[in-house]
Amino acid sequence: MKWEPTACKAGDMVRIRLGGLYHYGIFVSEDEVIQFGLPPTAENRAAEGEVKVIATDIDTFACGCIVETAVPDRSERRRRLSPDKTVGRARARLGEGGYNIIHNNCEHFVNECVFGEAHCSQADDVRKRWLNRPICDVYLAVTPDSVSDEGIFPEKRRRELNAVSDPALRTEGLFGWRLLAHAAKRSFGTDLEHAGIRKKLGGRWVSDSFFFSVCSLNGITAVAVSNAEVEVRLDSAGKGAVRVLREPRATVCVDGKHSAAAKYFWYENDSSTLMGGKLFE
Amino acid sequence: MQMTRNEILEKLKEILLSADEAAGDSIHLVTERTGLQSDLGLSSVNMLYMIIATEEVFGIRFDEVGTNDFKTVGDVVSYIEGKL
Repeated sequence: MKWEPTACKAGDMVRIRLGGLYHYGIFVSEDEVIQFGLPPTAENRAAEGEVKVIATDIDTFACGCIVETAVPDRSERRRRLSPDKTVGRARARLGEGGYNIIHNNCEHFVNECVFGEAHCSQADDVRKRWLNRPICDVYLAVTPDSVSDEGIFPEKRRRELNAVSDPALRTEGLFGWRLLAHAAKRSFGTDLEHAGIRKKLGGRWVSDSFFFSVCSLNGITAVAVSNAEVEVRLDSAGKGAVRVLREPRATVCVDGKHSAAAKYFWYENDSSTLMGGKLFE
Repeated sequence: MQMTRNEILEKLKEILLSADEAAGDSIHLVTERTGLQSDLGLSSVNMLYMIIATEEVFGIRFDEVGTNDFKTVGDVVSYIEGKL
């Protein structure tokens, strides 16, 4: 559907833009625009009690913004109800409450009046933005002196780590895997048992549910989990996003498609906390 | 799902950071008293983003919610806590 700042007729969908969101109404006449709640300006928000379907004049609807009119395409013209039916439906709902910013808002209202079906493209777009957001979570921790191998999954990985002869390297490996299990749970809501963890022919461990990278150096362990290829290193040799941890001092380099969106977590006592800038230089 | 207020707050901070990546370096300053618009400057789009992401993360549905119902981070934490 296209929107244009053109003259409107009875039964047209109209909208104004306030900040990043649109407020919608059904135009009946210059004196009657039916809408679910007043336009959400700061003044209206402060003054409005329960949000209800109301009719205002066009100036109150516009509140100084440009009014755009819907220009339906051919398929939308076929689907839409007649202007009379649209106006009738809108008027029949005057005084109705039950407003919900996500599930029953001004856009749901106008779509129901015009097409007979409640729908909000703004909420759908925002939900898509959330579901497709870049994830690049980096977990940092002090490597402990010793780590149990209990619960390490899969068994093949546990045996592999236990076979490491150098005790310090074995501890780093076991702890890195434990931290990975924590990261998988926190960032992707999955246990390693359900993450399709397997070893590829080249010897690299991968997951079917997310990308990951594990690194230990100088008493620090870092794990990065992402929904795109990712590599974490505890040096600044690469091209990725580099942050310098203040205490304990460490350089953390994250390389990958989503490294610019990296979030950093500090892991301690089996839980992790989102880190702010104060922990970095 | 049983979660403490602090666990809910931690998850909410992640959502707020995802809504506004520029908040990264100050996210540790966010407490339950932090104002969503007065302190964090959340836009109406980011407010919508926060509510939708909260539904997805906590598996809850926001009922009877208007744009004016949440003033502080603590208001959102309380709402989530009541729904879990």
